[in-house]
Amino acid sequence: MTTRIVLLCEDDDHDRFVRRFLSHRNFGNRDIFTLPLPDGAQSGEQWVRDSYPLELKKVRRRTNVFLVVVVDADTHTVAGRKSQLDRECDQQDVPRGTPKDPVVVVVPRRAIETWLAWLLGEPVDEETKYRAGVGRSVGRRPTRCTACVTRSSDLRMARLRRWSKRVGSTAS
Amino acid sequence: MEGGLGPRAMLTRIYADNFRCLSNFELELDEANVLLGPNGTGKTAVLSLLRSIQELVVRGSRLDEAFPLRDLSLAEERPGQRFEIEMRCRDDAYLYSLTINHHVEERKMRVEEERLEHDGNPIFEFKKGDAQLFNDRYEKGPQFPFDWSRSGIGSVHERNDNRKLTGFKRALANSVFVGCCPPLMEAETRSEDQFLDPWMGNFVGWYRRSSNENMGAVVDLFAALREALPGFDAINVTESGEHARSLKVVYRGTGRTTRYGFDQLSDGQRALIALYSLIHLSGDRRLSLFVDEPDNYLALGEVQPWLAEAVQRCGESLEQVVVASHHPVTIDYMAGASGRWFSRERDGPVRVSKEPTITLVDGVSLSDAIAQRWE
Repeated sequence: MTTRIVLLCEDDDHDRFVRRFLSHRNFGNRDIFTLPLPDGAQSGEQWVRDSYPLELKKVRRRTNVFLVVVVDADTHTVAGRKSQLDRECDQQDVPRGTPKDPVVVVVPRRAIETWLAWLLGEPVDEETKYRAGVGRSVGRRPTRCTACVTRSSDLRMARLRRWSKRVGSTAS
Repeated sequence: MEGGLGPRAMLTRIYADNFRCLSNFELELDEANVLLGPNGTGKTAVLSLLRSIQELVVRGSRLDEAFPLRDLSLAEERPGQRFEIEMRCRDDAYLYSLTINHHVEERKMRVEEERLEHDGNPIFEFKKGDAQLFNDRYEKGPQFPFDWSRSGIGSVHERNDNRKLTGFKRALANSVFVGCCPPLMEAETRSEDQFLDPWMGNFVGWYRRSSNENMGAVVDLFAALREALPGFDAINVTESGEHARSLKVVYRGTGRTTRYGFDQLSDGQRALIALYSLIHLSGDRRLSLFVDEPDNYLALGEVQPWLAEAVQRCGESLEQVVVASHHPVTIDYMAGASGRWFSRERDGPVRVSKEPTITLVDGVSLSDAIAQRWE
C-alpha cells in the first residue's frame, strides 16, 4: 500500500520545502496532500497549533498515512514550540503525540527562511530574521541540495531523516 | 544584462484601460499566483488581454485581429485603449506600452503609440506613424514610417545590436495563455504548432512539435502520466494520412496493450495529458504558464498534485505559473499567500487586491468562506 503524507504547515515556503525534501526520499507530489494553508485571518503558527490535535487524531485512525507538521520556532526554542503543540492537545482533550504516532514535527529555527538562506549558500544563524520568500527569488539557485539539510546537525533535520527511513522510502 | 532577456523572465505587472470589463485596471504578479473572484470579474479577460498582446507583438497579427472592436469596454464611450506590461529578468526591467485608437464609425483602428523600455531607457518607439529604433546601448538608430495597423516591435528581426528588444519578444513568445477544454481538442493534426489555441484545440499539433524539440522531457512526462493515469504507458504520434498525424495513447492492462485515439479518452484523461505536457514539455524554452481553470476537468485528487508540480518547477523548467480558478482545492492551496482577489461593484470597474475581499474567520478555510459568501 502506498504511503501518503498529510502536510500541516504555516505557509507555501514550508510546503515547497517539505515537498522538495520528500522528493529526495522518493515521494512524489501525488503522495502528499497539503492541508489548507492559513488565510491571513490568523498567524500561520496559530493555524498549525489549532489544527494539530484534530489532524493527529485523524492520522491515528488511518493506516499508511503520516502527518508532517512544520512550524517555525521564531523566538521560541524548538522544545518550546513542541511543548505548545502538546499543550494544545491537552486543551482539546487529544492524547499528546508519542514516538509511536505516525507524525513528525519539524521546527525550523529561527524560521524556514533560515534554512532556505543556508541552502542558497548564505552564512546563517538561528537568531537573525531572514527575509520572506528568500527561496523564491528569481534567478537564485540552491548551492546546496535540499537533502543536504539532513547532514547538518545544526539544522535539526535529523528526526525528519530518521522518519523518512521509518516510512520505508529509499533516500536518493 | 548582456544579450537581452535571457532565460529568466517573469511578468510582474499588467495595466489595462478600456478592455472588456477592465478599466484603469492594474495587476501585480509574482512567480506563482491564483486569480480568484466571482464570475464576471475579469480573470479570463486578463488572460485574453495578454494573449492579444502576444498575438500582436510576437505572432504578427493585425491590430483588428488581436484587438477587435468588441473588446472595447461597453461601459465606456471612449475609443482609446491603453495597455502596459512589465517584465523582470533578474535585475533588468522591461516596460511595454501600447495605445490604440478605434475609429468606431469607420470600423478602423490604429496604433497611436507603441513603446518598449529596458531599465527605463527606450529601445523602441512608435508614434504618429514613425518608428524609432534604438540599439542595445540605447543609442538612436534608424527612424522610418511604419504601418499603423501592426506592431512595430513585431516586425524587428534579431541582430547583434538589438538583443534586448528581441529578448523581450522571445520571452513573450514563451508565455502560454490558455484555458484547458478537452472537448475542443482535436485528435489529429496536419501541422506542428508553436502556439496553442486559446482552448488548446490544437494540443496535438503543439504536442507534436514540443515533443520533437524536447525528446528527453518526454520520458519525464510519461513517468508523470503513469502516476496520474493508471495503466498509461506511452503516447505515440502516428501517421494517419498525407501530412496528418494522430495522437495515440497506449495503455497496458494485464496481458494486453490497447492503443486509444486521443478522442477516445475521457475529458479528464485528455486534460491530465495536456496539463502535464505543459509542465514537462517546456524544455529549454522555459514557458510561463497562464492557465484558465486548469482544474475544471480533473478528479479531486488530481488538482493539488498538478498545482504542486507546476509551482515547484517555477524558477527551474518553468518561469511563472498563474492560474485563474474557482476550485476549492486550488483556492485553499494557493490563495492564502498567492491570491489575487478580483472584485467588481455591480457593472463597475474591476478591482484587484492581494488581500481577501471576504471576511475571514478562524478555523474556516478560504474556500468554505467563499462558498458561504462571507462578504
